[in-house]
This record gives sequence, structure tokens and C-alpha cells, in this order.
Amino acid sequence: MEKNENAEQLLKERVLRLKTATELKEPDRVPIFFPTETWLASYTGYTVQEIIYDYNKMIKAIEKSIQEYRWDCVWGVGSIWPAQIFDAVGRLDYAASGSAFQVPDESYMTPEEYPELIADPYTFIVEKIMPRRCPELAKTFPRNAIALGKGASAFALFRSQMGAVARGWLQAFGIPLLVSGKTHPPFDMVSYCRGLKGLLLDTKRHPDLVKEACEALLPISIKYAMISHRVTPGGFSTVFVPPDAAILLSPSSFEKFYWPTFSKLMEAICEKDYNAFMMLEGNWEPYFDFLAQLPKGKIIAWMESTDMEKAKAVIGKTMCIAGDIPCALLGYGTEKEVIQYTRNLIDKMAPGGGFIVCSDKEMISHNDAKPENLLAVTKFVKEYGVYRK
Amino acid sequence: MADTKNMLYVPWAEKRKEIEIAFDNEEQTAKAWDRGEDLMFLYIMTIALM
Amino acid sequence: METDFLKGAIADLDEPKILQLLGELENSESSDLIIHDVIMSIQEGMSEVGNRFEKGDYFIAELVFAAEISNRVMAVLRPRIKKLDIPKKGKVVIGTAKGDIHDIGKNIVRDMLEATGFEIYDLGVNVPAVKFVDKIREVNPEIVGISGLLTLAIESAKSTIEAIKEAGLREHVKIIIGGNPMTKPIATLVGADEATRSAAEGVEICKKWVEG
Repeated sequence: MEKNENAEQLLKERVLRLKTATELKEPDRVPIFFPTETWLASYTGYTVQEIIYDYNKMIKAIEKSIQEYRWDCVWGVGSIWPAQIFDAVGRLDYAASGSAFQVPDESYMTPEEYPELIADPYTFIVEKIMPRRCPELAKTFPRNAIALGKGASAFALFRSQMGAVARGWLQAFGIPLLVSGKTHPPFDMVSYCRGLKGLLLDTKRHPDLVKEACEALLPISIKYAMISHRVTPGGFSTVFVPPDAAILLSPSSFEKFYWPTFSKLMEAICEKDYNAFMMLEGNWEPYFDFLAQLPKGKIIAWMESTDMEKAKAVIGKTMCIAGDIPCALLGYGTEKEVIQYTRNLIDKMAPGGGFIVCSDKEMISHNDAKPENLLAVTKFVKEYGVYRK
Repeated sequence: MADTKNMLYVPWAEKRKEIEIAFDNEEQTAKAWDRGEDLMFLYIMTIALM
Repeated sequence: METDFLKGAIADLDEPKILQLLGELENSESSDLIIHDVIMSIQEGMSEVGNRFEKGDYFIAELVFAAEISNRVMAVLRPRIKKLDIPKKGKVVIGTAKGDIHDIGKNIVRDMLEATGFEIYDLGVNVPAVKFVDKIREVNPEIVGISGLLTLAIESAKSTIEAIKEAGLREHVKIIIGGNPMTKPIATLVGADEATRSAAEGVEICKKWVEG
């Protein structure tokens, strides 16, 4: 991998730019990046299955995009995991989808099992949820032990490989990795055990159990963030938090069931002086008043369907707002349309800082962006997005 | 609220009760017992929950 | 049995009340007229649920609960409805587009449409175009619904509609696409008649299509 000539200088500029925006100030220009996921396959001429089974191809694809677009950070692998870590334990849903990381909504516990989950959540997850979700682990010893061993080995190799690769990108391309750690808010963790549909019904039929289950999972949710996150000296990276289930709840249900443990999780992350990157799918306007209470200047809020101007007005003093060029436009629109949208966006959102340009969604399929449109908008933002003092 | 210590699947404190060997360096042994715990935690989070 | 109470209980998603009223119904020797009133009440109650969703009082959690309640109610009423031979409003073939496995929204629409009096053929998730075409040929529906949460569903919906055209069936059906990426411009792009991002709106569109 050839080193970019001024990689060190580039890194300093990019990190400062991202930090300044996150701290709700005006950097030298609006930062830009695109969250490339399985879109990278068609971009490089691979199939999705190729990149999830041969990780070197995945890495090559990311590096091609780094070199071509020179955004301010690299999204990283996102949800594109090596398929082996799932295959080994019998979770074939990832490979079967062949298109993106999609998990079918299934319930792996009954409402009668809530007391067990609440009493000792990790043990319950390991002993009950894991083998129900991963068929190989439900088989007898030694088959299940070997399956877990194979999967964990693939996982360990993946993590050490990606650690080295990300450090390499930092040095050679002067580009920081935007997402380093991750976690799920407690309510979402309960949804992975109970199924989303099941949990939503439980909020009606067993509200107290739902509340207790969220509280029980809070330490696990926090631990997940702390253990997965790596702070890179000289870099800028965040803990990825997708509060997926929140928008399915009315604001009063959100306040009752979702907010208490979600806010405690976010406080724990920010108390450690980490930054968080929240993926806010759907329309978050009904929950603005809650978001405005989160720790200031440490969180990037990635908007998918929320009105950007309204977000800036209400929560722009609390968190950095990222978004929201529509993939529909990037994939089906003309260069002119994309530039016009972006110009408008920068006019509305850039003043005062605390703003990052990206797409409204993760780029998971071929039709999520035309490469020419990405080039055009990147060039445009690097010129038009400069903060003139 | 669950104690975070419970998240080590068999914490060293519990294991210690089973083992009647005297170790030269108790702290080192405890650390070695917990090695890989973080990786397994992350892996279990990935395959059991996501 | 007070059918007005039933309409209100459904609109309020008061499950205990609804089950109590259903219990009364099961135990009584209800005439066909009563059953007919019950069905109307349920439809009106579900319509009100849809209104409250559009107004922003109810969210997806309430729709999921409404669908679940309507499932329970329909399970009890189905044998009685069969005997009555109440005409269906129409037939709907529904499924999530190929490549997409999300189904919560689709299932809400399916259950609400059934409670509203449609006959539903649910093809499930990750449905290839040929399965849509085969089912349309088989049951001759008035409406076809293609659901999708991911943007890749746009391309799948497009291929599906093209396959329906090629099979000479496009003129015979109304097609609606539903889900987060399914906006009106996307409907034009893929060749659908309508698009919606709201389950409740989807149900209203289907009702308008058959009722005129």
C-alpha cells in the first residue's frame, strides 16, 4: 500500500476537522464521508458473498474508496462481518440474505422467562438465547464446543486483522476510522432476545417486566461499549449506537421504557470522554426534547428521515448533526440535482458548525449511489463547504 | 440492577473455591483465568444478540 | 352485546375489554345480524386506529398491538364469518420484495386489511418476482402490495412489476409499494400506482381502490 505523500498532515487536519464539528464549533470546512457498506461490492465488481467470505477483497474495496474519494474518515466495516463468524455457529441468515446484513425478527424467549433474564442477564443470554439463536451451539458436546471455538477463532483473527489494517490506513492514508466501538441500548438488546414484535406487545401486556429487563441489561450494554471501543492515539473514533427500536414507540412509551436506560448508557459513554455516533433512523422529531438532554458536544447524530433544519434548531446545541443527502438522489439523480441538494443543505446546516455531510442511509446496495455522483458531491463540499472567516 | 462482576462467566473468585492448589502468584493466575473473557464477551454479543 | 363498546375498545386497544366482549359473543347464541354488526364495529375500530396513527397519537407499537388484537378477534370470528358468506371487499396479494426480509410493516398492513374485510394472500419475505406473478395468476387479486424497508427493495419492486407486465397481468391489478424508501417519485420510477410509508395510509388506499 503506497503511502500518501502528506499522510501525517492529512491526518492532523481530518482529526481536527471532525473533533471541532463534534464539539459544535466551526472547523476549516464541513467534514464529509459516506457510510459505505455492501455497496462496496458492486463498486469494486465483487459480489456481496465474495466480500463477506474473502475478507481481503473487503479490505481492497474499502481501500479503493479511500484512494478515490479521500473523505475525512473511513466508515470502516460497518455491519459487514466475515461470514465465518456466523456460519460456524449455524447462523446462516447473514449468508442467506446475500444482499446486506439483515436479521429476521424472531423471539427466542417467552414472557414467562423475563424473571430469569432479569435475575442474571448474561447467564440467560449465554445459556438460553445463544443456543436458541445459533443451532450448532444447541447440539451436544463436542460439536457445540468446537463450533464455538471455530467461530471465536475466526472472530479473533478478524479483530486483530482489522486492528492492524485500520492502523495501516491511519499511517498510509492519514485517514481515521470513524467507528471503533459499538453497543446497543438496553431496550434493543431485549428486542434481540424477545423479538421486536414480541417486545412491543410486552410493553402493553407486561410493562413492568420490560422496564426491569432494560435495567438488568444496562450494565451489559455499557460493558459492550467499553470493551469494544479502542481509542487510537492521534485518531478520532466513536462508539456506534443505533437506537433502532425507539421510533416505534410513542413519546410517552419512549419516556417510560426506552429513555431511562438509553440516557444512562449515553452518559456512561460520554463520562469516559468517548465520542458516540448515533444512527437515528426514522423521524426523531417527537423525541427532540429527550435528545436535547444528552451530554453536550460529544455526540454525532446521524439523521435519516428527520428534518435537518428542525434538528439543528432544537438539538444542534447539544449534538453534531450528520446527514442527509438521500441515497435515492445519489443513486437515481443527476449530478446537478445532487449538487443542488447539497448546496441547500450546507446553506441551512453549516453556519455555526456542528455539522457533517453524509448520505441519509448506509450504502448497502448498488443503487444507493452512482460513483460519479459521489465524486461530484465530494468535490463540491470540499470547495463550497469551506468556512470563510 | 445486575452486578457487572456477574458477567465473567465463571469469575475467578468462584473458580478459586474449587481449586485447592496454592499458586505462587495469585494475581497472575487470576488474570490468566480471565484472559479471553473480553473477546468471548464481544463474540457472544455478536452471535447471540445481533 | 354492545357493538359500540367494541368499536371503542378496539380504537383504544383495550385488550382485556375486547376479550371480555368476545367471550360474551362466543357464549351467546348470536344471530347473523349481531355478527355482522360485530364485524362492522371491528372495521370501524381499526379505521379509527389508523386515524390515530395518521394524527400522530399512535405509533408502530400501537399498530402492532392492533394487528395482534385483530388476529385474536378474527380467529374467534372466522368460522362464523365463513358461515355467513359475507362478501369480501377484495383480494390482496402482499409480500416483501426479493432481497429484503423485513416484515413488521407488511404484517401490520396484512392484518389490518384482513380486519377491514379483504382476503389476503401473504407471500412472506424475500419474494422473487415469479412468485408474485404465479400468485396473481392463481387468485386474480384486485390489489398487489410490495413491501420493503431497504433501498434494494426499490430495484426488486421494479423487476417484480416488470415481470407482472410481461405476464400480461399489469392491467388487471392496482399495485402499491410500501415501506420507508417508498415515496411517490419512487412509485413512478418502479411503475407502481401508489406508494406509502405509512401502514395506515396503505390500508386507506386499498379501501379507496375497491370502494371507489
